[in-house]
Amino acid sequence: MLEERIHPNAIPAWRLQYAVSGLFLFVPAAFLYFLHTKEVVALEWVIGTAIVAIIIYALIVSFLPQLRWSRWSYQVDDKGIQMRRGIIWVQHTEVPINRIQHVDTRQGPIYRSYGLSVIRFSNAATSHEIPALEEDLSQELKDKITDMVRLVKEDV
Amino acid sequence: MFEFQRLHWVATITGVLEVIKQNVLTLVILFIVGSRNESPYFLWLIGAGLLSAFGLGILGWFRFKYQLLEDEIHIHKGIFVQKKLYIHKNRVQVTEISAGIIQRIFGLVSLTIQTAGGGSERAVLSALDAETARTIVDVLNPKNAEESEFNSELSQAEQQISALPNQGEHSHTKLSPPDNHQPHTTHNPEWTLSNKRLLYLALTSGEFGIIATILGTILGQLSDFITDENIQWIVDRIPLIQQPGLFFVLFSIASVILVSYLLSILSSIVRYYGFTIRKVGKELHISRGLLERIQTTVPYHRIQAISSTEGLLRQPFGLESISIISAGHQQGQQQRSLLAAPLIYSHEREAFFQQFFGSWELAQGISQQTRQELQDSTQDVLSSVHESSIPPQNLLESNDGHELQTYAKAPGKAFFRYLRRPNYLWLFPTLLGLYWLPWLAWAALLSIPATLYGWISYKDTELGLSSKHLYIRYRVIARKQIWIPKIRIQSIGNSQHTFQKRKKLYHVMFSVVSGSHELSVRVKDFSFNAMNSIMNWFHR
Repeated sequence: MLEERIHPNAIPAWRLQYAVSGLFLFVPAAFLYFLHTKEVVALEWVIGTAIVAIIIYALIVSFLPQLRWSRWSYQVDDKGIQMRRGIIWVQHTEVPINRIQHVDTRQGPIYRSYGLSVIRFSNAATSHEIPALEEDLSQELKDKITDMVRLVKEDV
Repeated sequence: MFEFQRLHWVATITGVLEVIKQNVLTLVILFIVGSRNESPYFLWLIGAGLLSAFGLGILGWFRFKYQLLEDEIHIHKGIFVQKKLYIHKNRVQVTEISAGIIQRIFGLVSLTIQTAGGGSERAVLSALDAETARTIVDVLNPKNAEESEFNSELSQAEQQISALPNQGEHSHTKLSPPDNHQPHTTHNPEWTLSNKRLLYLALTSGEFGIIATILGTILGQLSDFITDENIQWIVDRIPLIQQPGLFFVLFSIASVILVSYLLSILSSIVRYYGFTIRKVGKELHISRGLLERIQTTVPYHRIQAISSTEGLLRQPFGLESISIISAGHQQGQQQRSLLAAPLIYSHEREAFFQQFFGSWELAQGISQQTRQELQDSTQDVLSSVHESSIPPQNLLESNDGHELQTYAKAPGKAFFRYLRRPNYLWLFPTLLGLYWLPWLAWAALLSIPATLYGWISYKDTELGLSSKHLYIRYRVIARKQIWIPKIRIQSIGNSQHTFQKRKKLYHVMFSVVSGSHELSVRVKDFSFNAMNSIMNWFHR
């Protein structure tokens, strides 16, 4: 584990996110099923599968955000930005400060209601994200990183 | 020099061809549909399409203007929406002068300016006379940029350069200051691809697989052509064929393979004929091509990494190709690597590096002797390494002279993981399909080549660190080696799977810019100590 954690509000925010994306998953499926099936055969199987699917999804929605949050940590110091995440695949990434090209923050409707925002830093090749930081903290971090980048003069 | 100019009118022809090339699929579909349809409607459609292609080509030329300033080029283009492209010389990654058939007829060239980054537009000046193209390249040369800095604000530039002790390219310029001022008079190392090599290159290019797939698809579409009459015609002329059915299939497969092999030979020869790489001052000039002559200019300080590939057909002969990875790219081409030596003997690589990439360390990789000695010592050395203190391993320096600091390969406990990994590729699909198709059990025979492949990749995977460079040898079908300067590594990371945790093994990843995307290289199943010393090396 690294020094900093992401904001605990991430857990309810992610829950909401998962639940909403679940709606997109289940509603069209049910709609299509009733639209295209002329006569309903083996209704008990259909309902049974649907209930099992919904239960599994509900379990995912209630437990995965918690687990994901507990495995997310990051650290920003003069060496660079370090991130550590992952439940089954534990991944540790380091981006040195002097490779960072730009930093931006982003906020969707769900994150806004929880006062969170995503910070993303791009280097010349790709970009990395720290999800769900408190708004002020992400602004602060953005300014801090930008200042640090300004001190280093190097070119791709 | 300082006002807006149009391109040579030949640009209209290339413009028209470009429009046709972009819409070739639509045209082909129109032709196929049109040929089946009797009504003249489709002919009109095709005619209108061609006409609009001409219109667009000419308008495109009319609206394309460029202006060369002291240290940047402005391009205005676009028929309906005017785009203004300003490229400063500090942002130019790679420039390419090429002369296609049309340009050669009129004695002109086409110039492509490549910049870095995802949103960069491609700047192609498709018809220029050679002199103007040279002028533009010279203006956009970073070499000139540095020169002017040296002259005008010398102290500033010096400070910046000396602030980057890691930058190998700059240390090179410090070693040979005369290069800066008279780059054309000092001797320029040069390497050419001989015709014999070109033939080897073409024979072992391994591209025929791709061409065979394309050809096969086309043949499949030509069902009109494959009629009983035509088959009979072929069968009559080949005496061996008694049973048309099976033999015809075999015959056509063989001929597809043969034709695509010949085509791949031809395409390699066309692309790499007369390959020459030359070091001029602080840049590399690469020229190649039979029908289309292409001259590419790469400044040394834009080189992100160097890699070498030993293809399956080439490794047995000790042959390999060396390419440069740069951040320059054209739209549509995502990853880009530039061949520095299309075909070279592995034992010549060190001399080649000496000539062109003098400041790059670990050029010869890790010698067999060092590896042998390390086999015994590495385990101890790496396990004695703790957190921050890495003992100077002078043992290695004295042997190699390559300033090898750390050497790591996958430990013995990872061996079986390496053997197993390629087997998953066939195992899971087979298990899934076995229920319906029992004969899939024969796929178990795939375990032999898969395990062999795993064994070879275990042997091939190794990593070396010097003070400035990272060297990795790994295998993705072909054996690859890559040299990345420390300052070019964009990010570094490690990952661990639940099953690896028990054995304390880690994958280690490095990413570097290649075109508009990243090239990430991963070494698998390294020990904790190796991983740790790699991460520490990166921080130093």
